[in-house]
Amino acid sequence: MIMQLYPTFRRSFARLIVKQSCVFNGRRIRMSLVAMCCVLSCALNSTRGVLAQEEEETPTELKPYRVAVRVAIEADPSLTPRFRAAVLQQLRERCDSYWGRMCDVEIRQTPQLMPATAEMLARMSEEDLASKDTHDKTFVITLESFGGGYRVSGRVWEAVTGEFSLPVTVNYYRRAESAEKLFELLSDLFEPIVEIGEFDSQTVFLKVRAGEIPPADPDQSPMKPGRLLRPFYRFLSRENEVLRIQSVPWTYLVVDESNRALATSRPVSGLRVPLTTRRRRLVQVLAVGIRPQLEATQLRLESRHVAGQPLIGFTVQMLADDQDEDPSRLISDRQGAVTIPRSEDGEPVTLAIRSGRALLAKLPFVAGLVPESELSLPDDSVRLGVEGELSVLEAEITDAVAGRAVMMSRARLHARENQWEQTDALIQQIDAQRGADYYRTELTIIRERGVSSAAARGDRAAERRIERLCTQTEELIDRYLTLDKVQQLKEELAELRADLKEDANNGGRSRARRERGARSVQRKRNSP
Amino acid sequence: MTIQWLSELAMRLRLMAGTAFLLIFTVAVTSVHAPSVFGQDEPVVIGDGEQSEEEEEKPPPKLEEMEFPSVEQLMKGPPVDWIVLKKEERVIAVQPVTPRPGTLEHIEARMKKPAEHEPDDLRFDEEGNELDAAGLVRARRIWRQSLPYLSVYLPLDPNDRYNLAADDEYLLHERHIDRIIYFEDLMLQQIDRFLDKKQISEAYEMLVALRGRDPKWPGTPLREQRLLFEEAAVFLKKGQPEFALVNLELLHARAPGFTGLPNELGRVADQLMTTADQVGELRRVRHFLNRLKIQLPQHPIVLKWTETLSSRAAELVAAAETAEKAGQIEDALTKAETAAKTWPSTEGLSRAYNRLAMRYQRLRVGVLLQPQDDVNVESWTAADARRMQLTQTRLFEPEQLDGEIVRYRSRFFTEWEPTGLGRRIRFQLRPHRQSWESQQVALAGTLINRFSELLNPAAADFDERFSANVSSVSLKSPFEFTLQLNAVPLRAEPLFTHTMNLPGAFQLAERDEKSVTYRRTIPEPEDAEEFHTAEIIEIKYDSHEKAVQGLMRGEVSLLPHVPLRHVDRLAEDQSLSMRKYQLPVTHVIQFNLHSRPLRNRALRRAMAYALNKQKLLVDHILGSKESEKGRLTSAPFPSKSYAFDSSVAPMNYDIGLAAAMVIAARKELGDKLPELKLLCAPDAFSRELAKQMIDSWSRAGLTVHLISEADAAKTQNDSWDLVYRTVSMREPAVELWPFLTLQPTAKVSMLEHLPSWLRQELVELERAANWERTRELLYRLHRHLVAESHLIPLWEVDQYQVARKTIRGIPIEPMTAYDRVEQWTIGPWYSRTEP
Repeated sequence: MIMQLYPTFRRSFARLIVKQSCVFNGRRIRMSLVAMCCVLSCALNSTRGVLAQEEEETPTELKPYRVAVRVAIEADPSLTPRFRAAVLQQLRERCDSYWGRMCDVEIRQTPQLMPATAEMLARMSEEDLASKDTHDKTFVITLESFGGGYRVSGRVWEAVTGEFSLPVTVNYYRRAESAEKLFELLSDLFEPIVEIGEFDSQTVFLKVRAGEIPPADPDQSPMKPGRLLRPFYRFLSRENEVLRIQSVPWTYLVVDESNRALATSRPVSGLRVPLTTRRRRLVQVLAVGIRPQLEATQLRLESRHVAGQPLIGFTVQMLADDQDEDPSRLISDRQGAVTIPRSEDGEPVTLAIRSGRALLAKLPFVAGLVPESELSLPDDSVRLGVEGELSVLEAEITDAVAGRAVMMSRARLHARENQWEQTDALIQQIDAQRGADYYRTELTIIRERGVSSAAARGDRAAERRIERLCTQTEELIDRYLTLDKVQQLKEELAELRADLKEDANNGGRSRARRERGARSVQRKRNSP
Repeated sequence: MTIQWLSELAMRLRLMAGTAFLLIFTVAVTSVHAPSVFGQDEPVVIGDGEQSEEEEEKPPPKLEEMEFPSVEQLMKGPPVDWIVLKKEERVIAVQPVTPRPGTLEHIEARMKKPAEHEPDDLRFDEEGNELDAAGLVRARRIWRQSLPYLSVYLPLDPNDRYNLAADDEYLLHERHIDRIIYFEDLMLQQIDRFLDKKQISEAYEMLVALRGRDPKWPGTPLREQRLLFEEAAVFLKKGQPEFALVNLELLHARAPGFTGLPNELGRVADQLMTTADQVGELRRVRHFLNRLKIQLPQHPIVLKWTETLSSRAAELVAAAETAEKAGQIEDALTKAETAAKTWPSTEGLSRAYNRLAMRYQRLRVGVLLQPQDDVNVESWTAADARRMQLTQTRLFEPEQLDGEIVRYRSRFFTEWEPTGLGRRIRFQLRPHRQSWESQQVALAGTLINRFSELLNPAAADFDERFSANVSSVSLKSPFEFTLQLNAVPLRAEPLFTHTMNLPGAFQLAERDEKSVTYRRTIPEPEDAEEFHTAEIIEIKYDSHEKAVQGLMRGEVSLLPHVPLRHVDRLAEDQSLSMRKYQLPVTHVIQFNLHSRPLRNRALRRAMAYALNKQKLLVDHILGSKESEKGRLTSAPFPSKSYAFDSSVAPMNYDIGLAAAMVIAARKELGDKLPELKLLCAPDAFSRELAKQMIDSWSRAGLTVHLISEADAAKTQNDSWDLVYRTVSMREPAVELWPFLTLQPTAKVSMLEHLPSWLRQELVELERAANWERTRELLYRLHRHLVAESHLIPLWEVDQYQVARKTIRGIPIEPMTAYDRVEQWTIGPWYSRTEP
């Protein structure tokens, strides 16, 4: 019973029998057989308390994983009792030989899953396991005959996160490989648990659970460079009960280096400050390994302002590491969803979510972890509305500028040909055109309307963007619609007209002057 | 030669004689006293006086030695008459003599009855004073002595600038003149030479020149007749017998007795009729027969063909009756139709034809385009729409325009009731069908299968919009099902624009280059009380004009689209009924979303400003400024639609502004303007309009190429930049998105190339659940589309359909070309008029 409940104690007890002394939790104890009995008695009486105390006191790096493996084998005549027993025995042996002391593994055949199929496993909810098991990791494995071969599927429930993983399935054809495949599946599902230590913006120091008791097979080490971890907080009560678990959104740790219990990692986050610097006793900052299992994840963009409203037609760019490479673009569909494929190297991809030119969010994303994921964003509708209105205004400004340029050019032409009636008519038309003041007023209306709508929504970013857009349009108005050019034209024409009048009065003596004037007009016309 | 000789001679004698009153001419046989009656510039009398030795050496040439004037001389002049002398037929070339023709006859007549030809001014002297009796007698004597003389002038020398000698008058006694060969006669001779050599155009030019000189010159009509005859022969030789026939008909009108004309007429008409008969154009055979009959009613060819056609028609009628008895109604009708084309007045034809045509109702439709095999949105034409309407099935069809909104009908449902505050629609299917209906009764399961395809993202026909709107489908019974919706739609019917997995009312049965035949999917029962359209044959014409001609000739009974310039004229025809469609059609230029240069707003606006839309509309579509059948527009949807913001005006034509915009665009595009490619429908009318627009753009400095008809059929996304197309939008709130993205359905992924604000506006429109919001968004979209010039709306024109009055059941204001065609009744009719 004790042995089953407390494996560490079990090992110590075995040594005591041989040596009559032991090192228990790092302290050498000499005691008589009676004392040993007392210890045994105490252990029997207050097992739970001892366990909890020891759990608290044992450093993370020395704390092995408590692993439960529940194997459900399909009720198929070909999968005989002898075969089942053999498989379980072989699996146990493999766990011991590969993982060694890193894990305390308890393997049992479970009759709970009926029928023991992958489909049934997929339907299983985490509630079915969470309250029943006190292990760190509870693997639920099914073995079934499938087609001409066999299929093993598995899921793992992580006590530390309270999450049940997605099922993973492997097909094979040789019956003799069953135990091997089962262990491979366990190995694939096994994720390390780490404590987050000190960190800065570049590096996060990690303390690896059971890092000082590495597996017998180094390949089975769960911490390898490049592994992805997902950080989270565990809020505990004074009674050490988990009050809640809070994930750090859009944040991942990529393991750079690992040496037994110590590891360093690189934070990749969409948040400005992903991890808190304030440490409290009742908050554990941990991370768990993650491994994308699916081909893609559907990311659904939702409006932050209107609950449940999908953001349709927004652009999601998958930024490449190589800056020169064009990012691949996706457009959110009618559900506001885009499908992000799993990256080949397993590292997080950086997603830039844009509405037109405006960047709404830039965050790392690991596709393939879950089938669906959601992201709430400001819908940007106010800014887009302003952009549409500004587009109309800019079109009008462009027309006005081009139209004025054409009329000025014609006026100069008529003046050079001494056609003053047409010239005056064109000048009148130029004067009658809508000027910069009109467009500034229109711009102010658009700006005020947009800014007040954004302010009403509390969307500061939209306010800033609207201001920026309006400022750009205002610059256009200032640059192209000033009256300087018109005034300059009028002066040139007045000068030319005066010269001609003088010329007529003086019988051509001021012809040279007029030609000079015409040259001046031409020169000014050609000037940019 | 002769002219020079005569002129030199005259000059020399004048110098020698001093007074120069007498001229000794070597040819002269007798000497005649030459009276001086014309004052100081007295004429030289040829044939009198002494002979000189030099003159004897250079006699005028004989007639056979005369060089015939060149064609250039005859056409350009100066004109010369040949006076043939009696002595050795020597010829003196002179300026045209007067009076002409019949100069000698005139002199003779004057000599015989001088009193009748006496001039009125003889009684006055040079100063206008009346002569006394003695003076009058003397003047009369002198005048009478001048009567036998012909006044001639030396020919004009084109090399001599002054032609002094040509002003000297010479008198030649009529007794020396054998005859006069006039310049016109020389022209006639040349015409004959041309005709002999079959140089028709040269002969015609000479004839025109001759008519210009004297339209009534003797011999001209004969040459004209010969010209027609010879030209007919040339036409026939060239393989243009119809032109030959026209010539011969003209000749027959002028000279029915022209030698060889009846035979030639018969030969040409026979050739034409044989050719037409070989290709089955029986109306054409009758046409030529009729033409020949008008000219020569008893011609053997007329009799032969009359006999041939009438007997053939009689055989066909008999064969049709036999086929009818055998139950082969379709074949029997074909035979009767052929008989009607062959000889409409055949006895018994009318009765048989009417009976068959009522039983198997065949509708012939005149069209410009045939449906395409592989069709995409940008190359979608009216022909594709007609085919789709006939051969595919939709749950709802537009019935009528009720104000701004289109009302729908359904052939499948007895009711479609929204329940659950509009979030659920219960469909009740009709359990039976009418006898005239050409489709089976639809079962709920069949429709649900189709909905499953539309809702399944993995299916080829997955429809994003439908999937977003419909959350579930539940089958209640074989004739009832329910759709659960995600949101309350503005209108339910436009959600179901998809073609269903049921056969259409008609099936495409036959197809060749000239026609497409559709037949009823389920024929009407034999015992039906009344029959309806059983077969639709679309006959292709090259142009609107040919199609109208086909309608007038009775080749077709319906034109689904009448060119506006013909509407008023056809509407006056009592045998036809003109119907105006409820929705107008809008012509637009749309830009390819994949074309990078056209993402530049300045370039798009330049293209919009460069088009003189009003002029194009009036010149090419309406035909007159007064017509109210078309108008400029600023939107791709109808101006009467709920989506149309009437405060948005169409963009004006301003070529100067367009050129300025092009310069701005060039700068923005890196000082290089692209050469753009325009796609348009393959009919001649659209292509002509497209060419006009290309000319307009070239005036603004833009190069646009029209994609050839062959290339247009295999266009890819990147092979064209802009498309000229027409659209008739019923539901702008639903159709605008697919229209702007050039897709059959509204796909979010296709919004990628639109500006984000426009994208967002379309999405908002999709979400709008009430009319106020929808209208507000559409108005905003309308303004923004014009400002951004995402397309160039050109004009909106009313559409008309014309049909023979024998077709009954067409709605007064149809929505589509074949609106309720299953219920139409095609009354028997064939053309009895002589072609």
